[in-house]
Amino acid sequence: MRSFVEVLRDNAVYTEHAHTFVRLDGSERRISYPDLWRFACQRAHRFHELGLRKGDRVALIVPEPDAFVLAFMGALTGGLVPVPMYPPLTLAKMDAYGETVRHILRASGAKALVTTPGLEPMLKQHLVLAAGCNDVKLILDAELEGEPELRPVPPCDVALDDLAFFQFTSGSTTMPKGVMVTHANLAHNAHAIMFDGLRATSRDRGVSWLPLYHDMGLIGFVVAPIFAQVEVMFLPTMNFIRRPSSWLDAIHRYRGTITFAPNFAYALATRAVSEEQSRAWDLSCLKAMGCGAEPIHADTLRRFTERFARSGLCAAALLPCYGLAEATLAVTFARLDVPMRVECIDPRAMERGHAAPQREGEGLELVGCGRPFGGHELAIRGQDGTALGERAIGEIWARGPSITRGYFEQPDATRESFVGGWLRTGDLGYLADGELFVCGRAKDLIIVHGKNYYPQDVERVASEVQGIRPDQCVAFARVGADGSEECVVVAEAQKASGKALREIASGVKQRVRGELGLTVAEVVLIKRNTLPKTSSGKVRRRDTRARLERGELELLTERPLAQSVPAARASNPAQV
Amino acid sequence: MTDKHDLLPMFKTVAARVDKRSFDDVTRASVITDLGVDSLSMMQIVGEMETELSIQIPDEDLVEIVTVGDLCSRVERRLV
Repeated sequence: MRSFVEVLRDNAVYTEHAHTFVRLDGSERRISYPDLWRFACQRAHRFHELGLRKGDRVALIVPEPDAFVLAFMGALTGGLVPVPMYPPLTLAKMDAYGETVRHILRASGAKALVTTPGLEPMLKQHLVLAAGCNDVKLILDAELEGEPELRPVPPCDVALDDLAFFQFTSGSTTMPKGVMVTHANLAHNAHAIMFDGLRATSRDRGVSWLPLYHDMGLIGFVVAPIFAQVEVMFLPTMNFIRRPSSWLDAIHRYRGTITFAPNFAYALATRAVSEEQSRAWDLSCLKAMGCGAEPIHADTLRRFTERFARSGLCAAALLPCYGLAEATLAVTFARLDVPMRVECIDPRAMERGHAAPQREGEGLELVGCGRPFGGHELAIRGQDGTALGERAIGEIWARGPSITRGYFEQPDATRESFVGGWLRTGDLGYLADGELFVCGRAKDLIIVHGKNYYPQDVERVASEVQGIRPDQCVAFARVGADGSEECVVVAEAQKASGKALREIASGVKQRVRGELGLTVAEVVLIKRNTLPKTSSGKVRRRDTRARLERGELELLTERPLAQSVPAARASNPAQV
Repeated sequence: MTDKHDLLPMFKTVAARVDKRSFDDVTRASVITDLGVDSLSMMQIVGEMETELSIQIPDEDLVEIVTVGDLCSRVERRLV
């Protein structure tokens, strides 16, 4: 099996092939396959000239897709270990961002940080003052540029066994974890995705606006397509967020055959694309519309395919999949050309840990995510690790060549999740005829807009708000009215007037937004000493959520009607 | 045209649509980062205003925006 660097080198013979990059200002840049390789070698040499060596970590905060991809490919070609990081969002709070940057730089032991002149002053301000980050060398992406090498030879060899890059999971703000992905992991997962999953040929074309610092955008579109000589059009993420039509418009213009997005993006496109914008589109070219990275809702995907059916979109192109950064990217794919499989499950049986199918229209809808890739294996296990049978709900474990080496310099966290060759995913699910259905998380993560938040972080911040009884609050996720996940906080409040209670609630929202960048959809204030707890005094998140849904909490204020979600769509009983 | 475009009502309508709650209390002096809207939703709001008015606000212009009034006047400037 060839490494990414070897494939990039060998692909230089495909002179007709190119990637297309849409830049932030809307202009387009085409970079041919031969140039990708020549630029990668040129940048690899620049990194070495700047004093970096094989194995050194280099953080990347580069918003332009073309500059990012060339820097990333250059780092891999030079044997460096890139650490992709997200650029600051416009109109966001910079303090919280600076803190994340410092945490990741420290946790990765990065020697250098590549960025742009526009971001340099802000980053300097957050780094110079921070202990442990002063010796990180700032490199401007322009310093990496140069004429592509005429006789490209990389500065060092890269073996399959070598570390390729670190994927930081957007986890707890206090403990970011860097997943160590090897070149062998990349090669295996890329083969599985492109050939097993997508049956891709060099005539396929990818279209992606996914962030390049995140596994789905980075491995799914920067790494994997190179293995199958698939050309890709990259769009800046913010272009999609501001103009959701730009995604499908690009697929129409470029004749894209492969695209991927999380659930929320399908909901956004359905809502925000106008008739006028979509009138001329022909989306019949699409053969694979992947959906992953956050819980998948059948309703959201159905509404999307119904909305765009008149543009020629084929419903069978929808491709639910399952994966996680600890397994490089993907573990299962639904079958290509087959309509998505949806099961209706009895919520009561689910509470008892069994997924009993019901008639259509009854119970909770779950989407099938397909079978594991060849050479990979799945198991459903109980809390004690014993294997469970068909349709039993338990933790999803995964094994195979895509499972990464664990978390960088975090032996405890690694031992917890990587057990005897298996990866404990922390997700709950069941197998039916070999197909995986994901029905929740064993860990109480909250995933909003594709980003992970730990309830403990939200609770810590909410507890600091005046009027909230310290540590007497819980945070959890539920499915919102539009089918995407949202965060709810339930907290015990000091006795106060209605007006004061409203101020406490808005204080919680502001504080969480300010410190974590997360929007809390609803703050529910309840009477003191009524928060569900375990006998040892620990808060019970799932129990609290279930009681809120059943109307069993002792509220201090009335809840607005719009906030109560219909029972059938409410969150997942498996987690209760 | 003598009467200046007032974008505040439009901001409230679009924000309410994107974030699914009322923004009635918002004034031009409200600080954007205190509205409890995450940055992705904020960019959706900006994008929907741009689409409805068929304008485009350059990214550089967004960097210095602090209050809702700042945003409104950036948009108003594009409409003149």
